[in-house]
Amino acid sequence: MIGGPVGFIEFLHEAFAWLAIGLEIAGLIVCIRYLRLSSAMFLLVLAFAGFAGASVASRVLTYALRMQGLPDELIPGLFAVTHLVNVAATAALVVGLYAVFRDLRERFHFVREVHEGRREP
Amino acid sequence: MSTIPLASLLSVVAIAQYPIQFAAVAVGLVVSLRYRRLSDKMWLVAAAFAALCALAGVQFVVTFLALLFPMFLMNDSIATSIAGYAAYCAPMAAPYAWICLIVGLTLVWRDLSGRLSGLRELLAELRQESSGASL
Repeated sequence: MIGGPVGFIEFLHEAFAWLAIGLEIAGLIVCIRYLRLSSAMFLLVLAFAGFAGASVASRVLTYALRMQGLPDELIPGLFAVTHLVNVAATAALVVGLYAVFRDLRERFHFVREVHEGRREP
Repeated sequence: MSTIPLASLLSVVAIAQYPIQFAAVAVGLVVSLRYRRLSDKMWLVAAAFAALCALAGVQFVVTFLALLFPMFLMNDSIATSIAGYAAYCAPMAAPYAWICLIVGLTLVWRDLSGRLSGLRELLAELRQESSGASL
């Protein structure tokens, strides 16, 4: 239940955490939809899957912590694993975007060179 | 593995994640600015990375200050209040940057996909013309 302002802020935090999960899943769907655009697109799919997985795991751990459903000594380790997955997913997102953009630019350059007659089609 | 090294490893992971996250997002901003001419909608991706960079930077600075000055977050000063609110509000601002990134990526992929299929057709026509000319 939402009590005073603190309860409302906690509710907002909870809502934004679930909104973030929804957005990560939307990003995953978009990247899967355009998977054939470049061979490096799978890195972006992996990145968004990692973000969504880490966020869901973090939510589940938060609820388990509240309900005391997990041994106390396990919780910091599991949270650290979710943080590690999140950082790895960020790295995969950046590397994937770089690879996809470079691949697409090279393909545009190739077509332009063919169009200008500098290369055989 | 004993408990103490594991605990120290976990604390290192918890501390190191913010600078690594900040560096990765900053690289993402550089990449999106470098390839900004690829599509008209790339400014959305660059803006999203700029916002994510700012958020990661706030979290990094607050964590760094809390580590350097353990009493910093316990003081009742304006700087402490600003840092506390910034750290508290950062997760709430992050979805807006994510919306910008995902909408931007969708528009950029759609634009590039359309242009690529058009260019592919052009290339096929050029191939047909060149094979017709050789005959």
